[in-house]
Amino acid sequence: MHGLGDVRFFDRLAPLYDLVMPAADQAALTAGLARAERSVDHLLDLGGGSGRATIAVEAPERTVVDVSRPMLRRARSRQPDETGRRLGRPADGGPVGPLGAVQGDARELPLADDAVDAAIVVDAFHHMLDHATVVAEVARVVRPGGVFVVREFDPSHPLGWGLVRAEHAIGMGSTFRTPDELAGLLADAGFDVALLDGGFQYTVVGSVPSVDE
Amino acid sequence: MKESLMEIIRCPIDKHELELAVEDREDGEIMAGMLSCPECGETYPIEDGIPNLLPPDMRDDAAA
Repeated sequence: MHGLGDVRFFDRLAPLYDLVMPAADQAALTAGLARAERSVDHLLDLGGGSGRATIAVEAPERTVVDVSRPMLRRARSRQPDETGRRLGRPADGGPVGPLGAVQGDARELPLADDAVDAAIVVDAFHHMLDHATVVAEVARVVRPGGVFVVREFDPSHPLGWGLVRAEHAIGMGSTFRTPDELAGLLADAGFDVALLDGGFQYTVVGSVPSVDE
Repeated sequence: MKESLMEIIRCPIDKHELELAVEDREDGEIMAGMLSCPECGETYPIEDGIPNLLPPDMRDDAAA
């Protein structure tokens, strides 16, 4: 039996959720993706919802996979000239959207083996169910030399503890992982793991070893 | 969705390649249609340019 988890919250929040990506997140994502040993031609934003983080990353092809259809409609409707979209603009000022959007579940990704060069999960991993299964699916779809970048909140940080309480108070079933726990999950799935930054928000990067190593 | 997405999307159940039937195309994007898995026979709709590739039991929950 599958559960929808926290998806209904985001179905309702979709029109409100479309905030500008904080610059700190963009810097962390860029640093994480720079660890790829291949060019990131196709980026997967897993649990990317409205594409808020997706547009912060420059890649020729960007696909958002999410359970929430209203959030995906936002992702598809993104245009480069909307207010607050400057972070998403490529350096040459070219157009951003629309993003590719696929309704799917992170535990049973509707993607081929070695489908993408990189995957990101930004502020969303704690909403996903069966974390080990999700990480194994990402390991399957990211090509050798590619990376998996996760940006998450640390529940052991004083601010993180407040966030856990707040999300549970409104009925979300969030499961937050500490940096060490998340790093362990990625290592178990065969990723070479690095912790990029710590604090309330942290970034873990898992690299898929290149074939020719 | 762009037709090029067919190269990487798969049946969520058995990861088999999917077959595409287009119902509506706009500006090079497939807006409506049907994806089907020749392996398990499951079908997945494309609506508003977004393919619904949720596992079928989840799709029913999401539509409720």
